Amino acid sequence: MKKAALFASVAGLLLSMSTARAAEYTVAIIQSMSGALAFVGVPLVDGMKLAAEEINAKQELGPGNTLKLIIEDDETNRAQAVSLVKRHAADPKVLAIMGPTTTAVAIAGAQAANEEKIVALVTTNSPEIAKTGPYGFRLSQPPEVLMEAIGKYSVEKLGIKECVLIGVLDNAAYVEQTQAYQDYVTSKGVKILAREGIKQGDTDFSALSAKVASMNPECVFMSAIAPTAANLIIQLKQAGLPPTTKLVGMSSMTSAALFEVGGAAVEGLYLVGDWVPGGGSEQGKAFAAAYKKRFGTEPDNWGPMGYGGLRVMSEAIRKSLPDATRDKIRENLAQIKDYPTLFGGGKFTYDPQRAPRYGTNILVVKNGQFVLAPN
Amino acid sequence: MIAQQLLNGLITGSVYALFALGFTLVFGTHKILNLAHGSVFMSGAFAAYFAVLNGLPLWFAMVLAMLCGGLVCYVIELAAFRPLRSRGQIEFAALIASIGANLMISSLAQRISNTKVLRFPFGTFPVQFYTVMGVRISLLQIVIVCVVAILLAGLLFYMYRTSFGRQVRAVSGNERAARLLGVSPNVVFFQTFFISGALAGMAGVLIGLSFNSIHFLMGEPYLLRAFVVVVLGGLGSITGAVVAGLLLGVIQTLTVAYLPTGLSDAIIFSLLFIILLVRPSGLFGSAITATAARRQ
Repeated sequence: MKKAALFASVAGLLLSMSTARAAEYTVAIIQSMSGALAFVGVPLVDGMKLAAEEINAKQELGPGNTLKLIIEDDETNRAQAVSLVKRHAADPKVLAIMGPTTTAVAIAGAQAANEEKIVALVTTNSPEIAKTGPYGFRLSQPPEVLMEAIGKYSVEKLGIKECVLIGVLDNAAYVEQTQAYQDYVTSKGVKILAREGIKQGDTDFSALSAKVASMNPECVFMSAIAPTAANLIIQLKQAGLPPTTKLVGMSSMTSAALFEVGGAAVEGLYLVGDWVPGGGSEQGKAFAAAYKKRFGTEPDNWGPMGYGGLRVMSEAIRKSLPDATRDKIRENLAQIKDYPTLFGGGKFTYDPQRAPRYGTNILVVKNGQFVLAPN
Repeated sequence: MIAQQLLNGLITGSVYALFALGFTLVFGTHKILNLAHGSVFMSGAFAAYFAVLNGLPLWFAMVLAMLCGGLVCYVIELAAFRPLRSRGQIEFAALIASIGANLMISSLAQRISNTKVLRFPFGTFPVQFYTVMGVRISLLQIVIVCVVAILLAGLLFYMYRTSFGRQVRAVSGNERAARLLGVSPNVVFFQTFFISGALAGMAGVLIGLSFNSIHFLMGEPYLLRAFVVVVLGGLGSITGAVVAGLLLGVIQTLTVAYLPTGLSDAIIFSLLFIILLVRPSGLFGSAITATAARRQ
């Protein structure tokens, strides 16, 4: 009896020792799972879930250690995002935050994260994030990188000489991208026939479409979220936009929502994307297969972005071990260089302004799918 | 291009008028600003969307949308406004209650749609265009104008040529006197809220078809426009709502077409301000008051 009690005590002690060694590293995910930007937030979080499962299965943070995600919905709402950032910053177990998603919400969230001295790796590419302080990081590349890529393609491959620009006015990131595209193409001699503004939630483009169609433009560049852009394209074509007009867009349109709303009308749309549809590399193809198996759909731009973003964060945590603190993670995240990723050119680096650089891909919509545009 | 833009403006304006008619009907009769009117509009579009998705013909989906809009609006009256009316707190409390109802219905639609922007399946309505004297018009636009005209004529007939309409106007003028004369206010409330919701439901379907977009927040911009329409037309005035709706559609379209981008709302609300300075009761407000006084 005594021997049994002794054995049980030793076993219990060993178990508690091993439990003490196995650590749990917590990251709060605050993304737009509902509201206008849910079409970005939902697949982004799905990609992160897949990354966390893979990291834990391969024990990448050390034997027995796990990466824990706390998933929250910012409802595309600034007040909600700030409240969530502050709540999780108050929990010492939370080492970093991934999110919020869109510019206005992300700036408010990053500001709160800087006040609480915890990293916020936000999804938007707005340069304003850098101004919130050293704890604000971006997941998407700066507008000038993306717009230079699609601008260059527009001029050199599509051969455009004149263009109409239509951009969302009530989101700073979209305004900056329209401006960056305009700056690039005008520097190459392209004439801007008109620059028009819309709102993110607009649905009636009949007047704008008639106006643009009457110009018979060679090119229409759009900076908007996928459903809005798809709806705009339908109405432009219904208003009589010539079929020869080149339609050009940006990475936020590389979503299944573009086809769901736009159908056949979005065929031939050229756009800059982070992710090569189908995967491109062997790792990309494996991810695409795993994503489809887990969530039942092909990944669009945002699933791989979420996956890659969490992997970058996990790498910063791994480098901060064994005693990962919020400040160590911030320092290691800022030093990420040439980290393998699934999108862009395949290597992820943070520049001194904590903006990511990973290269771009030019895509075109063909037979209801995004495919690499011909070079 | 001006003729094309005027046509676009009149079509957009006719849908604004249809949306605003229900809003002004409830205000004119009950002095309630029903801020859940946008979500009633959205619920009509959702009902039609799911009906079409389940293989039902579009005409049937439109009828269903009107029934759904009418019922949702009547449920709001039963659950939110009637209890407040019985306590004599209908004005401001009803405003708050309607905001609550709006949030509840929108949240439900958000859950149902998973926040996605939905659209009627491709081919639900034939995409056909006609060019008349250089103006391009679609079959859908023709149908929209016809539907709005039929519903407007029906509403005017109902309000001014039937005993039910007389009862509605009697309750609107003086509820207590109407009650003494044997008019049941609850029957009138049912009629006005149901008609208001039915008109909003149809407007939801027309907007969903026209602009390829059904979304749980789709009613909010239209509610803001409806405010402009009913204030501009004269609170409670049916004719005013129609004229102001068409005017608003044309002004909005022309500002988008001919003025610098992003100025549309600023111009619309500035014009509203100027018109109200000149005619504080709206374009048709005083005429209605005078007519009512003559009847009394």
